[in-house]
Amino acid sequence: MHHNQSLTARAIFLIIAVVSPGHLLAQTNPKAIPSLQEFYQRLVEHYNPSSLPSEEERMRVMHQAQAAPAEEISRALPWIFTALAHQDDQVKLVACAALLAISLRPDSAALLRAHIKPIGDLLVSPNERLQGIGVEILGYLKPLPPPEAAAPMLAFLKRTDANTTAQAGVAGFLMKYAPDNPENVGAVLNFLDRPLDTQARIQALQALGTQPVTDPNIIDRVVAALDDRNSRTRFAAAEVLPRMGRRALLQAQPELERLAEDPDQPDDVKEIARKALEGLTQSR
Amino acid sequence: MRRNSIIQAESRPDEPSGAPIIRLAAFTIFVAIFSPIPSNAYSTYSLASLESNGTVVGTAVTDGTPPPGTNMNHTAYATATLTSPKGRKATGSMQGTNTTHAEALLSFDPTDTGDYLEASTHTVYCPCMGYFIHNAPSQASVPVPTFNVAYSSYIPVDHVSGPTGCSVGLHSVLSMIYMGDALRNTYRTTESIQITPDGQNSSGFYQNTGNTRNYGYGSPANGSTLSQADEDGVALDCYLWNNAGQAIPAFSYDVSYPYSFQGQVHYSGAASNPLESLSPPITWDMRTVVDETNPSAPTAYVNYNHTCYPAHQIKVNGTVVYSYTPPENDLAYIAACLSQLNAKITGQTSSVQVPPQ
Repeated sequence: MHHNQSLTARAIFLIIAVVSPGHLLAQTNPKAIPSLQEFYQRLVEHYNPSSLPSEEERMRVMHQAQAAPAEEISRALPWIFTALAHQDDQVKLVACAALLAISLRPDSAALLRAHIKPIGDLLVSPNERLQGIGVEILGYLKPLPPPEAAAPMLAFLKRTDANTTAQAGVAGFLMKYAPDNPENVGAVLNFLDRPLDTQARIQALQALGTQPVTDPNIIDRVVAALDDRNSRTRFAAAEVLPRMGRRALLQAQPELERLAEDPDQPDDVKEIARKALEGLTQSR
Repeated sequence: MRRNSIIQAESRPDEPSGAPIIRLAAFTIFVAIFSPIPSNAYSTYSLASLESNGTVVGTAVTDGTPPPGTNMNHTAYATATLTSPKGRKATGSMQGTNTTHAEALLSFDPTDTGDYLEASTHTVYCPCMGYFIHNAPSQASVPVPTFNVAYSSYIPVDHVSGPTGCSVGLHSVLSMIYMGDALRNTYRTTESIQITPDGQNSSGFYQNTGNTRNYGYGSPANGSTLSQADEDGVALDCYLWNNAGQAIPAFSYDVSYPYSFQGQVHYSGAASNPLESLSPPITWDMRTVVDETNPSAPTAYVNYNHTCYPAHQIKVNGTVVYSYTPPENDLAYIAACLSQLNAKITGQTSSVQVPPQ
């Protein structure tokens, strides 16, 4: 009885396996969704600048890279990094799509730790878009960016010909993950002392305000920005100080009080200075 | 462009006033027998117009010219009274031989827009008969429409995942969540301004950013949406509400008037998440064209260029002229949009009729 049932089950399984539409599709439909490995292998082996993957295909790959098992990612990584080393920046960007998605995974540091060097190379690319994406990939690694990620970030911050908005983010990154490293602090100070445009300076202040900061010299630079000639920069400095912690607020208190009472300041600057001072009272 | 509006009063003189009934009766006979002009020959009207600098002009015109061949002159009087929507008034009076016109002017006030009303009185003095003929008053109006052009970007869902996590003590998440704007009537970024193409004037520029709030372990507390239960008031503990900040509103705008019937508002800006040091900014570059070729049915269209996340919208006087809602709200899509792996959304809308204000 049991033997008969088993035979019947095997027969049914065989029939299903043979006539299954999905099985047929995988065997015969060339448009079946390729695995990550297949996608990137095809990209580099059949490179054609006039038929690069569309935005929809890149998004599909990103979703695949987020959801795929770690083993599938590991199998695909050699091909992804081959694409990243391609001479065509458009191919590099397709590789970046997968790497950015992988960097947002919970296991991204484990998956990419052995590949910090080629990712770091993006930061020395002349293409500012690639620089920015490289910074994001390194900075998002989970559960924490590995220590090896700090070196390319630091080198990037020291450059004077790079994407200043991305550099501003790196200043915040270094102060978050290695605030006690004197070389990091020195690079951040040098960056803040550069003649940055308003957008980059605001970005830098904002990035520094994403975590408590204790270095008095860095706090000094933020306090100095309360006296910047651009009202938006003054606003930014007052806005971020409470998030930099009580020490920063205490150091800034006289300047914040002056700003809050200065009739020549725009209303929103006075308001944000008052709000920052309230933070000082509340954190006692 | 000078926009005019004329309402011609009936050219029928009123009854003479101020005379005793007996004298009136005698004069009526006199007029009937000797009057050189028919009583309905006068021309009176009002005119309201808008100058290119936004000044509104009300004009009262009285033409009491006797018919050709009449060897006499009349004295024509006109009084123009112009009233703004908010009740500002200006008056002007003139007199002249046979014809005259009086003007009343109100300067442009961006806070006082809408329909301006000109109310005119017209009188003709006939020396031959020795009395004033009061013609029916006339009216005219001219609209001074203003347009509020408002841009905003917003997260169209309750919350989204962020790129980084947090870990404090026992509480740890690999991806903090961020409060969205859906059903909260909030925004990520906004710019707005009031323009009056007729006056080539703009006022009240406003820029701002919304509060950015992130949440750690345990959120959303009710399992689906962020609520009061997530607001524990304890910062930087990676548990429920974790941190708050405000992106810096440092946006740009310019207003131009390439034609007297057209105003263009150009907004551009960038704003990044104040709680994430590496997150690239959302950006926008939007030009809204308000056209008053047909003053009673103004239109607007938008040239747009912005990141594919979050939602972006342009309203003119409350009417949606442009609206973009992202197709996805997941972390990979947001990252692809902000890092500009995905192309910016660009194009131009068709014209939409907008209400004048």
